Parts: sequence; structure tokens; C-alpha cells
Amino acid sequence: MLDGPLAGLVVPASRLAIEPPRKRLSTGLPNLDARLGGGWPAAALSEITGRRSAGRTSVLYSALAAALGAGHAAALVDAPAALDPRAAQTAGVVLDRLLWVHAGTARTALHAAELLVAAGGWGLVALDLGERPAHAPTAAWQRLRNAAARQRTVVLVASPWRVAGTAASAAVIMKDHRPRFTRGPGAVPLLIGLDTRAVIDRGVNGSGDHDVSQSTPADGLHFAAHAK
Amino acid sequence: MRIACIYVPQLALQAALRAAPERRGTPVAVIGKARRRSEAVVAANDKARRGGVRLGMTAEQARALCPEVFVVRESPADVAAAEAALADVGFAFAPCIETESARVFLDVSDMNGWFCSGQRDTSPWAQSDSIARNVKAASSGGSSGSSGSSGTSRVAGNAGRHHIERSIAQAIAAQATRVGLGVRVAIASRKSVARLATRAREIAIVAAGDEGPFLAPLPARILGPDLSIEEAETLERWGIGTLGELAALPAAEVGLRLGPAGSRLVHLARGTDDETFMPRWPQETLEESVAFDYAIVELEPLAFVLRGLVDRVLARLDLRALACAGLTLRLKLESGAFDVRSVPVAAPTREPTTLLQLLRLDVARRPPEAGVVEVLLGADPARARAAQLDFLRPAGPAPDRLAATIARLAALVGPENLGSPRTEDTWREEAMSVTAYRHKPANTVGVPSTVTNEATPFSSPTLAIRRFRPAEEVEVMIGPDGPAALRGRDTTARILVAAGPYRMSGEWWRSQQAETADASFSRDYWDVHASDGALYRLHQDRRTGRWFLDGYYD
Repeated sequence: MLDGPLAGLVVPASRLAIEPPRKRLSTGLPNLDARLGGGWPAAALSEITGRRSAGRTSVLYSALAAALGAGHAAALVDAPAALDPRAAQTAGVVLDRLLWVHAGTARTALHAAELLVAAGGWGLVALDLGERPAHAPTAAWQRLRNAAARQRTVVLVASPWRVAGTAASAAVIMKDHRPRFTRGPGAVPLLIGLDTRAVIDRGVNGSGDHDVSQSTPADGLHFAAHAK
Repeated sequence: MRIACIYVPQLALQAALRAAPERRGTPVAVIGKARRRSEAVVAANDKARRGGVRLGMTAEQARALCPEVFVVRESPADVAAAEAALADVGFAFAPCIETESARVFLDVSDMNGWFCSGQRDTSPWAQSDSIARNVKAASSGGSSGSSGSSGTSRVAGNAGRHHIERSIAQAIAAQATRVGLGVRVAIASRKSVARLATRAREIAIVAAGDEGPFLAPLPARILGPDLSIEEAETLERWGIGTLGELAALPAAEVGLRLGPAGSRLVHLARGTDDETFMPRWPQETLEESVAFDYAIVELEPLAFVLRGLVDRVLARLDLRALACAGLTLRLKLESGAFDVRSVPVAAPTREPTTLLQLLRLDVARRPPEAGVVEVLLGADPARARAAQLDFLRPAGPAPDRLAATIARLAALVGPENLGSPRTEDTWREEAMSVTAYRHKPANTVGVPSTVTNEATPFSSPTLAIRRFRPAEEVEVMIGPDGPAALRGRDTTARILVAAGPYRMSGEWWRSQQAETADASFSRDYWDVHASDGALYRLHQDRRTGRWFLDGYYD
């Protein structure tokens, strides 16, 4: 407790107003929604990371499909042009309503995302930084986060490793993936899907709990391979 | 029928001042081709006249008498733009108008309801919410004037109509001021009377049946262009000084001496000339232009000029309650050639900053090859699309901001790298195309086509694939069950499981040569789980035997 002239100016932590629960945008994946407290935090920047074939792109497409399905405007800023429109369509993305920007480099992608978010009106702006995202200054990520907060937009960054640092309100690591094959009638292996786990690396309220060990069996995700 | 005539006195001068508004309030003289000399002053404003400048002087004489005078050459483009702006003033009040040099005629018979006595706002469109109330009030006032049996009520009705028509004329003059034109307005029952009245007064209302008394005191020279030099000299010889004196002459006798034109002059003076009103509909596009004395080579000065043009275009569109759906920029270069650009606008807008930004980005992306000596800016009019908000669905991006953002993104990444992705009607897996992005609210999206396999949220999530564009060529070691190892630019791994091959071929009607984008293809695809943990999709070209990494499942 503070005494003297500062006593009336500082509010004790126990009396601080409770922050209202942040609105959420569904990830399109019930398991992940449950883990994130309802979905990606609205008006904030979130990250999905994971190595090759860990499932981060599938999560990204699910988020796009869910956002478009909820009536939001959505954009995908794609640094490496990795988008496969058939796969996205199969995941539920209405291509007619998706704005796709092939940025070329991660730096340009960040700039493009900033332009988009600043324009306002977007429900979700997804940013795919590709395989080797170049280092971007922390200030750039903070600027993007502030723009997202101002325009009430969800910004979702997909990259092999975490790049946004403290600017991210939520971060999900895709790991422990395992492809699932089955033997076809002619004893030929057939890819039927991918099992993976989504681990919350940054807290639900953006507090940064960093507790990877809290992953539970409920964090398991399965993505089915569509028919060839 | 009640016809309004809008007249722009000294059109050349007003057109020049409209293009250079910063010169307003200073002495200005316009030089152009005069009758006797090659170039002389054809118009001058009051300040220049007070400084001694007179019509017919050369530019040097004008400058000698009034050193501060700004002498500008008459520009047909500026005059045409001013006339088009004048037409837009007419279209702000009537769906169709008749135009002639420096004049516009329109039918204002049905506008009394919009301009009841006591109206303060000069814009008829600003009164849209009270139109019904005004029409009701006008109809009740009109009936008392037209069907009333007493002379008092008839006089009151005429006075009311006169007042309303004066309001209409004032509103027209006010709208003209918005596009940089000072006009004279007259309303009469005949076109010729309205035209003569604009030569006499700033605002003139000539009641039906009062044409003769109105015109009688006016000097005969007011007939102006309707009177040839010879006819004017003849009338002077006859001692005719006013229109009333001319009207008193028998038309047949005057016609006998001056020909058919003489008879018409008498009818004009009496206010009985039956000139037909021939209105036309508005043009599809509108254009503004500005010419320079010297070539502009840098973007910033050009952007400054474009700002003025955009403002003028938008002021004209605003008169017609329309927005800009597209721009056409024509730059006349020093060489005489035209650099023509079409600048699409994603959604009709009236935002000057958005339009200017689109123009700037276009010019910055592809600068003109030579200095620019004239700029012509055309705009496609369209109805402004109001954003419809929804209680149940989230609002999308504002159309005008979206247009500007897409333009800026196009400048950043190139227009071909931006839009809505589309699948192609081919078995070639990597095929995709991009179409222009149009924001569609969720409820207006069409029924999904049969090829669309839209999943609802929380349906079984599907595995995505990330494409390498272009596919990366790799070395593959073949084992007894297919690929056993692969080595590429970033990948060297043993293959743990290989699923395949899935044979795919197509587009046989194309060239059978080497595998190129426009050639046929025949491939064996494999899904392989590599020792680096990744799940790759690769294919072997059956013609060349080469292996390519298409991407990986993720």
C-alpha cells in the first residue's frame, strides 16, 4: 500500500476493473476453438507456427473458411504463392470472396498486410510468410497489431517459427505430426490424412503463459486428405 | 411550358478562370483569333477593363496599358469543358436539356413543387426529404391561383409563381457557381424570350403573356447575333431604337423589305417567335482538361494539376448526384502523341483523395515517355453505391477505401499478383488464375457451382497442400516400391512411405514438345513421407523422366 500523496492515485491491483472477455473468431476447428477460449482473439494479431507438414496451412485455410462463412471479408497475403486454390476450396474457402495477394517476399507481405488492415472492414487478414521469413523489426509487428486493434481485424500470421514476438496475442505451435497411410486394395499405400497437435504457446488472453507442457490429448487434430 | 435559359457571359474568360481559379480577382484578358487581326483580346474581366484593356487589342497593347494583366490564350478544351459543366448544371435540374453556344435551355414547368416560397437551401437535392410536403403545399397554392374566381386570388397566384420561379433561377445560378461559372438565368414561356432576357438581366422572370411589355423597353441591339450588320444599319436608318418600336411594325412589311429574317426579328421583338425546344439526354462520360504553356515532366506538378481536374470532375458529378466509376486519363505529349490510360475504380466513389491516389499510382507505375503539354481527364458516371449495413452480418471494407487499397497493393505487388484466386478447368494440379476482387457480402454470393465442394465450419477438416511455384526439380532414387530417396535444393531425405503412382495426363491437343505451360502433360504423382518429417507431393514427367517437387502437405 502506498502512503502519502500517491495513495489516492494508484488503484490497488485487487480493485482493477476486470477486462471484458475478448471477442473471438472461430478457427473452424472445434478442438482448437476450445483450446483458444473460443477462437482467434478479435482485433489482435495471432500466430500459427510449425515445421513442414505440421498442419499450419490447414489451420490457416480453416480459419479463412470460418471467417468467410461467418460473413467477414477475408484476405490472404501469400509471400511464396503457396496457395493451392483447389485445396483451399475443399477446405471451405469461398474463393470468390477471398482477396489473394502474392507478395513475393515476407517484407512486402508485411507491408501489404499493413495496407489491408489499415483500410478497415476486414474480418481476417491472413499472412503466410513462407519457409524463410526475413526478420522484420519489432516496431513493424507492433504497428500491425495496433492497426488490427484499431480496425477490429484478426491478423493471423503463419510461419515456420514465431516472428511477431510480444505483438502476438495468441500463438499456436503445430507439432508432433504423423501422416496416416492405409493399404489400398492392391496393397498400394494411400495417404488418408495427417494427425497433428496444436499447442498453445502464447496465452489465451495474450499473457504469454508459454506452458507447452499443458498440452492435452484434446489438442489433437486430424486433417483428411481429399480424394485424388 | 416554362423554359429556363442559362447563359454564360464571356464564356472564353470564364473557361480560362475556371482552369486557373487562382487568377480570380486579378486583371485577366483572353486572347484569341479576332475578326481582323490574327490574335487579339477577345474577352477581359472588369479589372482588366478598368486598367484600360479593350477588346481587339493585342496582348502587347494590353500589357502596356495594364502591366499586371494576366493574358491567357483562348483554349478550345477549356471552353468545351466549361460548356460541358454548364450542361451538367442543367442536368442537375432536368433529365434532358438543349444546349447551344454558352447557353442551356431546360424545362422547369414541373419544378414549382420543389421551390415553394420560403426555401432557403438552393440545392433541390438537399430538399429530397421535404419534396412531398412541398409538392402538396405548391399544389394547394397553385389551385388557388389558377382556379380562383376572384382577381385578387389570380394576382396572388401569379405573384407566388413569380417568386417560386425566381427561387428556381437563383438555385440554378448557385449551382453554376459551384462549378466555377457565373451565369445569367431567365425563365419564360418561349425559348427566344428567355434567350433575349438573359441578355438584359442577371435573373429575369417573364410571366406568360407579359412577353411584349417585358421586351418593349429593351434596346434593339439586344437582338445581337440574331441581327446582321446590314439589318442593324437598316433598323438604325428607320429610327428603330427599342424592341417595342420594332414590334410595332407590321411583320409582313418588314419581311417584304428585309426578307424572312426581318419578319422573324419582329416576332422576336413581340415575344411571339415559336422556336422549338429540342432537348437531349446527358452524355455517357464527362471530361475536363487543362493545357500548359510548357511541358511538365515530373510527377508532383502533374499530380497538382490532376487534383484540380479531379475536383472539377467531381463537382460536375455531384451536380447530377452521381459518382465516378472509372477514369480515363489522356496525356498529350510534347511529340503530339497521346498517352491514354484507363484507370479502373473498384467501386463508384466521390472521394477526391481516392481518385487522385489511383491516378498518381498509375502515372508513377508507368511515367509518360515525354513531357506533358495537356491533360484530359474523363470520368464514367455511375450511381454511388451506398454501403448497406446489416444487423446480423459484419460490414465489409468501405467501397472507396477498398478501391484505393487495391490500387496501392497493385502498385506494390503488381496487378497480376492480386485478386480472387480461381481454379482452372484442367487436370493440371498447379493451374490457377486470378480475377479482379469484388467485395461481395455473404448474402449475395451466388449458389455454389457443382465443382465447389464447400465445407461448412466444423465439418471434417481437410489437409492442405502448399505449392512450390514453379515446381522444384529434384533427384530421386528409385527403389523396388517406387521413390526411395530425394535430393533437392533444400531437401535431402530418405523416403519412408511412398503412395502412388497416380497417373495424370491431359491437354493432348496441345503441343507434344517439352513440358511447358502450354504443352500437354503426362505425369506420375507420388505422395511420400520423407525422413525429414515432411509429406511431399512429387511427380515424374513421363516424357522426360525428370522428377519435380510440387509441394508438401501441411
